[in-house]
Amino acid sequence: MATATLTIPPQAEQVRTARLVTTAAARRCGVSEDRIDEIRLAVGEVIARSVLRQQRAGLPNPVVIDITDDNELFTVRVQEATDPGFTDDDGGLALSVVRALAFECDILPAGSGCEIRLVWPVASEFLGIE
Amino acid sequence: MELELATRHEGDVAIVSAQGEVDVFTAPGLDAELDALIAEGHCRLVIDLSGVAFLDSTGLGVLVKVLKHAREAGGWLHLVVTSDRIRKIFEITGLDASIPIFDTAQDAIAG
Repeated sequence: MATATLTIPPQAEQVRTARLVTTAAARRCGVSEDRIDEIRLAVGEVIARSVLRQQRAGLPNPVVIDITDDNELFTVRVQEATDPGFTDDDGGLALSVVRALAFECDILPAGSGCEIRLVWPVASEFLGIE
Repeated sequence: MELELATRHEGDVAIVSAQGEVDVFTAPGLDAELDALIAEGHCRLVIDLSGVAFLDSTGLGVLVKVLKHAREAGGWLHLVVTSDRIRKIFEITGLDASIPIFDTAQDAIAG
Protein backbone atom coordinates (compact mmCIF):
# COMPACT_ATOMS: atom_id res chain seq x y z
CA MET A 1 0.00 0.00 0.00
CA ALA A 2 1.45 3.34 -1.05
CA THR A 3 0.62 6.43 0.96
CA ALA A 4 1.45 10.09 0.59
CA THR A 5 0.51 12.93 2.89
CA LEU A 6 0.33 16.57 1.90
CA THR A 7 -0.25 19.40 4.34
CA ILE A 8 -1.28 22.84 3.09
CA PRO A 9 -2.11 26.07 4.92
CA PRO A 10 -5.76 27.13 4.50
CA GLN A 11 -4.96 29.43 1.58
CA ALA A 12 -6.73 29.50 -1.76
CA GLU A 13 -3.48 29.64 -3.72
CA GLN A 14 -2.40 26.28 -2.26
CA VAL A 15 -5.40 24.35 -3.54
CA ARG A 16 -3.97 23.97 -7.06
CA THR A 17 -0.78 22.44 -5.64
CA ALA A 18 -2.85 19.87 -3.79
CA ARG A 19 -4.82 19.08 -6.97
CA LEU A 20 -1.62 18.55 -8.93
CA VAL A 21 -0.08 16.26 -6.31
CA THR A 22 -3.23 14.16 -6.02
CA THR A 23 -3.61 13.85 -9.78
CA ALA A 24 0.02 12.81 -10.15
CA ALA A 25 -0.44 10.17 -7.44
CA ALA A 26 -3.54 8.82 -9.18
CA ARG A 27 -1.68 8.51 -12.49
CA ARG A 28 1.29 6.83 -10.82
CA CYS A 29 -0.88 4.15 -9.24
CA GLY A 30 -2.51 3.40 -12.58
CA VAL A 31 -5.93 4.98 -12.25
CA SER A 32 -7.51 4.98 -15.68
CA GLU A 33 -7.24 8.23 -17.60
CA ASP A 34 -11.01 8.60 -17.84
CA ARG A 35 -11.11 8.81 -14.03
CA ILE A 36 -8.24 11.27 -13.62
CA ASP A 37 -10.42 14.27 -14.53
CA GLU A 38 -13.07 13.15 -12.04
CA ILE A 39 -10.48 12.82 -9.30
CA ARG A 40 -8.92 16.21 -10.12
CA LEU A 41 -12.29 17.96 -9.89
CA ALA A 42 -13.65 16.10 -6.86
CA VAL A 43 -10.47 16.41 -4.81
CA GLY A 44 -10.12 20.05 -5.83
CA GLU A 45 -13.67 20.73 -4.69
CA VAL A 46 -13.15 19.06 -1.30
CA ILE A 47 -9.86 20.79 -0.58
CA ALA A 48 -11.17 24.18 -1.67
CA ARG A 49 -14.25 23.66 0.48
CA SER A 50 -12.09 22.79 3.49
CA VAL A 51 -9.89 25.85 2.95
CA LEU A 52 -12.89 28.16 2.68
CA ARG A 53 -14.59 26.66 5.73
CA GLN A 54 -11.48 27.14 7.83
CA GLN A 55 -11.06 30.70 6.57
CA ARG A 56 -14.67 31.51 7.48
CA ALA A 57 -14.22 29.90 10.89
CA GLY A 58 -10.95 31.78 11.47
CA LEU A 59 -8.98 28.56 11.90
CA PRO A 60 -5.32 28.71 10.81
CA ASN A 61 -4.84 24.93 11.06
CA PRO A 62 -3.38 23.22 8.01
CA VAL A 63 -5.59 21.09 5.79
CA VAL A 64 -4.17 17.56 5.62
CA ILE A 65 -4.56 15.37 2.54
CA ASP A 66 -3.78 11.65 2.78
CA ILE A 67 -3.53 9.73 -0.48
CA THR A 68 -3.57 5.94 -0.40
CA ASP A 69 -3.62 3.28 -3.06
CA ASP A 70 -3.76 -0.45 -2.45
CA ASN A 71 -3.68 -1.44 -6.14
CA GLU A 72 -7.47 -1.83 -6.22
CA LEU A 73 -8.70 1.37 -4.60
CA PHE A 74 -7.45 4.96 -4.75
CA THR A 75 -8.45 6.79 -1.57
CA VAL A 76 -8.11 10.46 -0.65
CA ARG A 77 -8.82 11.68 2.87
CA VAL A 78 -9.03 15.42 3.51
CA GLN A 79 -8.91 16.48 7.15
CA GLU A 80 -10.01 19.91 8.24
CA ALA A 81 -10.38 21.60 11.61
CA THR A 82 -13.99 22.80 11.26
CA ASP A 83 -16.80 20.97 12.96
CA PRO A 84 -18.85 18.71 10.65
CA GLY A 85 -21.93 20.78 11.52
CA PHE A 86 -20.37 24.03 10.26
CA THR A 87 -22.55 25.09 7.35
CA ASP A 88 -21.29 25.67 3.82
CA ASP A 89 -22.10 29.01 2.21
CA ASP A 90 -22.44 27.68 -1.34
CA GLY A 91 -25.75 25.92 -0.76
CA GLY A 92 -24.00 22.55 -0.90
CA LEU A 93 -22.90 22.96 -4.53
CA ALA A 94 -19.33 21.74 -3.99
CA LEU A 95 -20.46 18.60 -2.16
CA SER A 96 -23.10 17.82 -4.78
CA VAL A 97 -20.37 17.89 -7.44
CA VAL A 98 -18.14 15.65 -5.33
CA ARG A 99 -20.91 13.11 -4.71
CA ALA A 100 -21.59 12.92 -8.46
CA LEU A 101 -17.93 12.15 -9.20
CA ALA A 102 -16.63 9.94 -6.39
CA PHE A 103 -17.52 6.27 -6.11
CA GLU A 104 -17.63 6.72 -2.36
CA CYS A 105 -17.83 9.96 -0.38
CA ASP A 106 -18.09 9.97 3.40
CA ILE A 107 -17.88 12.83 5.89
CA LEU A 108 -16.73 11.64 9.29
CA PRO A 109 -15.93 13.38 12.57
CA ALA A 110 -12.16 13.50 13.18
CA GLY A 111 -11.09 14.85 16.55
CA SER A 112 -12.57 18.33 16.83
CA GLY A 113 -12.81 18.59 13.06
CA CYS A 114 -13.85 16.32 10.26
CA GLU A 115 -12.57 14.17 7.44
CA ILE A 116 -13.93 13.68 3.96
CA ARG A 117 -13.02 10.34 2.42
CA LEU A 118 -13.22 9.82 -1.34
CA VAL A 119 -12.67 6.48 -3.04
CA TRP A 120 -12.28 5.36 -6.65
CA PRO A 121 -11.44 1.98 -8.13
CA VAL A 122 -8.07 1.92 -9.84
CA ALA A 123 -9.26 -0.20 -12.76
CA SER A 124 -11.64 1.12 -15.41
CA GLU A 125 -14.01 -1.72 -14.75
CA PHE A 126 -16.26 -0.97 -11.80
CA LEU A 127 -15.44 -3.31 -8.94
CA GLY A 128 -18.83 -3.15 -7.23
CA ILE A 129 -17.67 -1.31 -4.12
CA GLU A 130 -20.13 -1.56 -1.26
CA MET B 1 -1.15 28.28 -14.37
CA GLU B 2 -3.43 31.07 -13.17
CA LEU B 3 -6.13 32.84 -15.11
CA GLU B 4 -5.69 35.36 -17.90
CA LEU B 5 -8.63 37.39 -19.15
CA ALA B 6 -8.95 39.33 -22.38
CA THR B 7 -12.02 41.43 -23.16
CA ARG B 8 -13.14 42.69 -26.56
CA HIS B 9 -16.39 44.12 -27.85
CA GLU B 10 -18.48 43.34 -30.88
CA GLY B 11 -21.33 45.78 -31.13
CA ASP B 12 -23.04 45.83 -27.75
CA VAL B 13 -21.67 42.41 -26.75
CA ALA B 14 -18.67 42.10 -24.46
CA ILE B 15 -16.64 38.94 -25.00
CA VAL B 16 -14.37 37.83 -22.17
CA SER B 17 -11.88 35.13 -23.17
CA ALA B 18 -10.42 33.16 -20.29
CA GLN B 19 -7.18 31.19 -20.41
CA GLY B 20 -6.04 29.00 -17.53
CA GLU B 21 -7.87 27.64 -14.50
CA VAL B 22 -10.95 28.96 -12.72
CA ASP B 23 -10.85 27.83 -9.11
CA VAL B 24 -11.14 29.15 -5.56
CA PHE B 25 -8.00 31.29 -6.07
CA THR B 26 -8.68 32.73 -9.52
CA ALA B 27 -12.50 32.95 -9.48
CA PRO B 28 -12.48 36.32 -7.62
CA GLY B 29 -10.50 37.85 -10.49
CA LEU B 30 -13.08 36.65 -13.01
CA ASP B 31 -15.84 37.96 -10.74
CA ALA B 32 -14.22 41.39 -10.53
CA GLU B 33 -13.77 41.66 -14.31
CA LEU B 34 -17.38 40.70 -15.02
CA ASP B 35 -18.72 42.95 -12.25
CA ALA B 36 -16.82 45.87 -13.74
CA LEU B 37 -18.25 45.21 -17.20
CA ILE B 38 -21.81 45.14 -15.90
CA ALA B 39 -21.19 48.28 -13.83
CA GLU B 40 -20.04 49.99 -17.05
CA GLY B 41 -23.32 49.06 -18.69
CA HIS B 42 -22.18 45.99 -20.64
CA CYS B 43 -24.91 43.51 -19.84
CA ARG B 44 -24.75 41.30 -22.95
CA LEU B 45 -21.88 39.03 -22.12
CA VAL B 46 -20.11 36.12 -23.73
CA ILE B 47 -17.58 34.25 -21.62
CA ASP B 48 -15.34 32.11 -23.79
CA LEU B 49 -14.13 29.15 -21.72
CA SER B 50 -12.46 27.32 -24.61
CA GLY B 51 -9.04 28.17 -23.14
CA VAL B 52 -9.97 27.02 -19.62
CA ALA B 53 -8.42 23.76 -18.45
CA PHE B 54 -10.17 23.57 -15.07
CA LEU B 55 -13.41 24.99 -13.68
CA ASP B 56 -14.89 24.18 -10.28
CA SER B 57 -17.95 25.17 -8.27
CA THR B 58 -16.41 28.48 -7.20
CA GLY B 59 -16.25 29.37 -10.89
CA LEU B 60 -19.82 28.20 -11.36
CA GLY B 61 -20.86 30.44 -8.48
CA VAL B 62 -19.37 33.44 -10.27
CA LEU B 63 -21.15 32.55 -13.51
CA VAL B 64 -24.52 32.13 -11.77
CA LYS B 65 -24.11 35.50 -10.07
CA VAL B 66 -23.16 37.17 -13.35
CA LEU B 67 -26.12 35.53 -15.11
CA LYS B 68 -28.45 37.02 -12.50
CA HIS B 69 -26.93 40.51 -12.68
CA ALA B 70 -26.86 40.54 -16.47
CA ARG B 71 -30.52 39.55 -16.68
CA GLU B 72 -31.48 42.13 -14.04
CA ALA B 73 -29.80 44.74 -16.24
CA GLY B 74 -31.83 43.60 -19.23
CA GLY B 75 -29.05 41.56 -20.80
CA TRP B 76 -27.86 37.98 -20.98
CA LEU B 77 -24.92 35.67 -20.45
CA HIS B 78 -23.77 33.08 -23.00
CA LEU B 79 -20.85 30.71 -22.65
CA VAL B 80 -18.45 29.12 -25.11
CA VAL B 81 -17.41 25.64 -24.01
CA THR B 82 -15.44 23.37 -26.32
CA SER B 83 -14.07 20.79 -23.91
CA ASP B 84 -16.01 17.79 -22.60
CA ARG B 85 -14.09 18.12 -19.32
CA ILE B 86 -15.45 21.64 -18.72
CA ARG B 87 -18.92 20.84 -20.04
CA LYS B 88 -19.20 18.01 -17.54
CA ILE B 89 -19.47 20.22 -14.45
CA PHE B 90 -22.33 22.15 -16.07
CA GLU B 91 -24.09 18.86 -16.79
CA ILE B 92 -23.50 17.47 -13.27
CA THR B 93 -25.01 20.58 -11.68
CA GLY B 94 -27.77 21.07 -14.25
CA LEU B 95 -26.49 24.55 -15.05
CA ASP B 96 -26.33 23.67 -18.74
CA ALA B 97 -30.10 24.12 -18.67
CA SER B 98 -29.83 27.62 -17.20
CA ILE B 99 -26.89 29.16 -19.02
CA PRO B 100 -26.83 28.89 -22.84
CA ILE B 101 -23.66 27.14 -23.98
CA PHE B 102 -22.27 27.39 -27.52
CA ASP B 103 -19.43 25.78 -29.45
CA THR B 104 -18.03 29.00 -30.90
CA ALA B 105 -17.79 32.63 -29.91
CA GLN B 106 -19.63 33.68 -33.06
CA ASP B 107 -22.55 31.41 -32.22
CA ALA B 108 -22.59 32.75 -28.65
CA ILE B 109 -22.62 36.35 -29.85
CA ALA B 110 -25.42 35.67 -32.30
CA GLY B 111 -27.29 33.90 -29.52
